[in-house]
Amino acid sequence: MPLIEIKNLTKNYGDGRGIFDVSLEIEKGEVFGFVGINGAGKTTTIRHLMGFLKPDKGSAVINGLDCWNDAAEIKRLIGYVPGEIAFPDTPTGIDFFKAQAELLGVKDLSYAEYIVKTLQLDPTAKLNRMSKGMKQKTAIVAAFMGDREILIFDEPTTGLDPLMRVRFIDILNEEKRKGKTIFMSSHLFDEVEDTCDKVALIRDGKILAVKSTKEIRHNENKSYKIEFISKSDYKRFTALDFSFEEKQEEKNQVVVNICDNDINAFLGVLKGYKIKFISEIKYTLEKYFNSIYKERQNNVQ
Amino acid sequence: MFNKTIFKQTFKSNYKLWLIFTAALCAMSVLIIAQFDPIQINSMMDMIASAFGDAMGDVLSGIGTITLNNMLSGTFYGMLAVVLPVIFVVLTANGLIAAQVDKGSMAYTLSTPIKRRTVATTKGIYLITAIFMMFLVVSLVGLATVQVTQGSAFGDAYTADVKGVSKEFGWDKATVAGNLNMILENPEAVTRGAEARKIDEDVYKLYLQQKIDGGTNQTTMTPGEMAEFQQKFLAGITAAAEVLDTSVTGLTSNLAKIKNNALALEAAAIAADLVPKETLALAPNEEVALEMQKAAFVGVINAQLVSKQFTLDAGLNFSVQEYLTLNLGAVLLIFATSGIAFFCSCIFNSANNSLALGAGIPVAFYLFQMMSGFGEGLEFLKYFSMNTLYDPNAIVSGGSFWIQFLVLALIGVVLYVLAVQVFKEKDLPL
Repeated sequence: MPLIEIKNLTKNYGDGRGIFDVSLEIEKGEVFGFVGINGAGKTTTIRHLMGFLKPDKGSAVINGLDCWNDAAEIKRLIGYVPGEIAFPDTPTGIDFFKAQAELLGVKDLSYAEYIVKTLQLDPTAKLNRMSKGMKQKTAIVAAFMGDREILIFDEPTTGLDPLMRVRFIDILNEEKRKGKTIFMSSHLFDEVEDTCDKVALIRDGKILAVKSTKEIRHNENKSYKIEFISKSDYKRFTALDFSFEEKQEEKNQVVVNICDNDINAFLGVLKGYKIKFISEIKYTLEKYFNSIYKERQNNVQ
Repeated sequence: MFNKTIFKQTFKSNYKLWLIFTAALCAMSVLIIAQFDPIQINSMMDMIASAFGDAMGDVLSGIGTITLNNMLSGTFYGMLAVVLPVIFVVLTANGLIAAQVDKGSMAYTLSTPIKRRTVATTKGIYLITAIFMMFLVVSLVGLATVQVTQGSAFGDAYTADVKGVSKEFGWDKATVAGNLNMILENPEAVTRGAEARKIDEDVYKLYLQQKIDGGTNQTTMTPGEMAEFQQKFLAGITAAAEVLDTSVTGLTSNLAKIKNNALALEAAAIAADLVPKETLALAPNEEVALEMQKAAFVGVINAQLVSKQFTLDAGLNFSVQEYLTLNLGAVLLIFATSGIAFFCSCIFNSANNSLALGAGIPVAFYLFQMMSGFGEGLEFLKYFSMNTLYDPNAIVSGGSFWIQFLVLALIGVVLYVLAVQVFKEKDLPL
């Protein structure tokens, strides 16, 4: 049985807003990415997991407990970073951590201290004077503090600089090694691609696809960008029967899709041309999802 | 149902507001009680009576002597003790739930294994505790102030003359109050005491003597004689009023004026004609007869003034029970009001809406209550205001109030229970 199971979850806010028939399964030990543009329904889904919203239809279940009915009970398993960071009326970061530890029933703050150090956070700073990034770090520390089984993060890297983003991902990988289950939302494809085992794409409140990042990384369909030195070569090449993704006549450039099986044949053909450069364009999650978008749109048309 | 940690944290972030409001309320209570001077306030009422003529005088004399309880019920408990705590309650209630949901910080409280019901209940309990503690402190400070400044919270009050004389001679107030002969036998003390009471020494001595003898002397007149006597006395005052060119009511409340004006006294004495015919017949001449009439009239005035002093002393009387009941009523009204504010705080996810209704309804209640007193046409408004259930005037003047108290308590309890239920069941944007 999956650790987190969302089944036909529906919350209709009217005017097409909300989430509709969302179903997801997250296994124990999995790092699950939840991607979509702003307003796609990521936060609404997460609020159901936290028991803040009551489903119109369907259910969210964590470890066999219903997220709405047993909202308090499931919190024993969850560390949470909310999408919008606003702290209680405690003066400094330390005061906040102490207050939060009391509520969580956490006695040992050494793990929190470790995260504070890793993220280079100054917890003695006044909460209301903190920059966006500092606030985000503070929220992250609060989520890790309880050393919970499941971590639910709503856009956790918002406001973090690139260096801290890397640090954060390091911490996530550590947690993953410890067997934690992580559910995080993001609007950045490369971020989830680097960290997650599985990624779900949500758009307009509906799940478009769920994909393993391994599959994407080891995709056999690759794209290559080639620039020819002469216009005549360009013209000769584009006349061939390849799957072209892009043709730029003025630069003598093409982007061509080649499956790994055909790579030798492709290289053989290239021998007869004078090329300026050739480079592989990585197949990314973004590309994958974009292709799904396009497919859907074509289907609709 | 109750979480100690949440209570502690709620206390930590809210106690300052409580301190400010409690201190302000205590300060006002202390000022009002310490300032209270029954002689001054009652003579002020007399002045108003004489200034506004007979009609107003009748209205005012219907009120009777103003005691400290009366005064507090009208000023402090009629307004300040309601308005200030309502502001406190509205601000606090909004901050406890709605503001935190609006801001988003409630997410941290609710991402812990503490039930929503427990969170809301604990915060409600904080608000209720804060209100009751506020009034407990105000009541205790009030009682202490009454004791220190008026001496009448526990035991009899010290009258102005006792206070004045004790201060002048360095005597102990309690000793003097227990043995008024100390004043009576000391001419200087009599002068000082009379000054403190703003009466002349003759009247003061009479007052002291009567007080030592134990209360006012009973009249032996029959009702018929009494009526005749009052008629004569009134005739005397009317005559004096004409001479002094003032209203009869005004003069009635300031009889000493007649004593100080020879012409007025003469006119009054002749008009009243208090001395029996057979006694007058003994007078060797007209002059002596007039003197006898004058003396008789002054005697009656003095007796009246003395009895007025006794009334004023009654104004110092203080009923602890009434005082505590005034506080209990106020605390119940605020409790019910806090129910409204807390309910609004639990319903709304936006602090603006919570404040708008949480403050709007109590303010409307207060305005309706005020307007319902403006005239008969607006009296129906009292049925649209919860505040009319707390009537401080009824408490000090022997009206009924226990049922209203019970209703207020019920309103509060029901609203708090509903508020917790609503908070438990609603969607939260966290």
